[in-house]
Amino acid sequence: MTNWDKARLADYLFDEIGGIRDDFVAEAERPYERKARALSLRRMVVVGVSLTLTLTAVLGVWIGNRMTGRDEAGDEIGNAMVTQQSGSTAPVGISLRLQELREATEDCVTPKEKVELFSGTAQIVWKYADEDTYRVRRLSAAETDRLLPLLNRQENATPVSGEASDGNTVEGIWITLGDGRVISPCLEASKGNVGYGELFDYEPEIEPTDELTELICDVLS
Amino acid sequence: MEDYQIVDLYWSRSEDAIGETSRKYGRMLHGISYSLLSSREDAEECVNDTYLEAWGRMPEDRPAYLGAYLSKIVRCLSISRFRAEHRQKRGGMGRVTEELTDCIPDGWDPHKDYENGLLADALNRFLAGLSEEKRRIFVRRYFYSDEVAAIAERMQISPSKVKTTLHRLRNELREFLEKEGVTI
Repeated sequence: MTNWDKARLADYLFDEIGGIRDDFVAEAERPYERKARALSLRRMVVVGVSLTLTLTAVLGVWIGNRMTGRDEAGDEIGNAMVTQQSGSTAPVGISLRLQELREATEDCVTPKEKVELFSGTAQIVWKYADEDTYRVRRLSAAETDRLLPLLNRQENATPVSGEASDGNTVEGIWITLGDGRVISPCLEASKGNVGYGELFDYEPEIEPTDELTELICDVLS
Repeated sequence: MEDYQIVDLYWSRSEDAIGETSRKYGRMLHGISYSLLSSREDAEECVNDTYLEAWGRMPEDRPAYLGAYLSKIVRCLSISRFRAEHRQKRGGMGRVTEELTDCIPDGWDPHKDYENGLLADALNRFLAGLSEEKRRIFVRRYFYSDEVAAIAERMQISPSKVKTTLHRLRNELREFLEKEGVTI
């Protein structure tokens, strides 16, 4: 099919979009309200339930230990449980691993305008939420060859929930292939997870597989 | 004034119908036409033609969503005008349709699908299967021809997220059309 044909067919498709259902057209015209309220309510319920369970567990352990006279040991268990619960908003997965590598990768700091996406060399680019700059690590051909197959084979990656990503200190991580293509390992592998010519924003969909996370961290460390 | 009241004015052949329509929807209709034509004068004429068209179609039609009904008319008139006057140029509308080439399945015979009513039906089913946010982004870009920055502002998200979402949606639409058997 020639490009001219495609252009003509696209015109035709554009015309047909003019015939979509009126309620879709009307919906898109109305002001959009993000569902932040529903989310906060859900989050409040989750936090409330977690706190209740934690308090119940701590109280149960404390009472149990008081009854058996093992106050000291009980306090230790109780403290450990509180610590574990309060860590629920801490970074997880690849975010945690990149956080651990923050100091070790300070030589990778690069201003946004210096991040080169058409250099012909593949790179790992990532950004911490509290920094304005990006971090860039160029990849050798061998590293690229190891990384790409894993990037395209993420069927077993864990889906990320909104709550799980809240504590993440990493705003984004991308693999840039040097020809303008940009892929995030935190998006489900599809034709649509490849951007072009820019480090696109995204909401994490998956936590990369352990194998891919290990490889990325191995390369960066 | 509520939509049904304005429609009643059309039905009773009251000239206030056009004034009320202009007051409520004039700006929106102008925006749709302008984003396709990139000319204020042409957009203004298309909007006026839209009022006349609506006047001619009602009372036969009784639209439940007057805004959507008028949007379709102004979009159609603006596209026709663009094609008649700028056949060789690729302005605002040209950019939008250029993006849509991503959605064209190989070997697609649109006329066959049109005759069978497949395409319109498939588009509606595709849109019905999307989340509200994605559907709004798609419709704002490919029905209303909004710029990416305008969609980002409206949806309270970043422009790059809009671009990523549109890129994904175009791929999804192509896959959907292939799966639905609109290819030959």
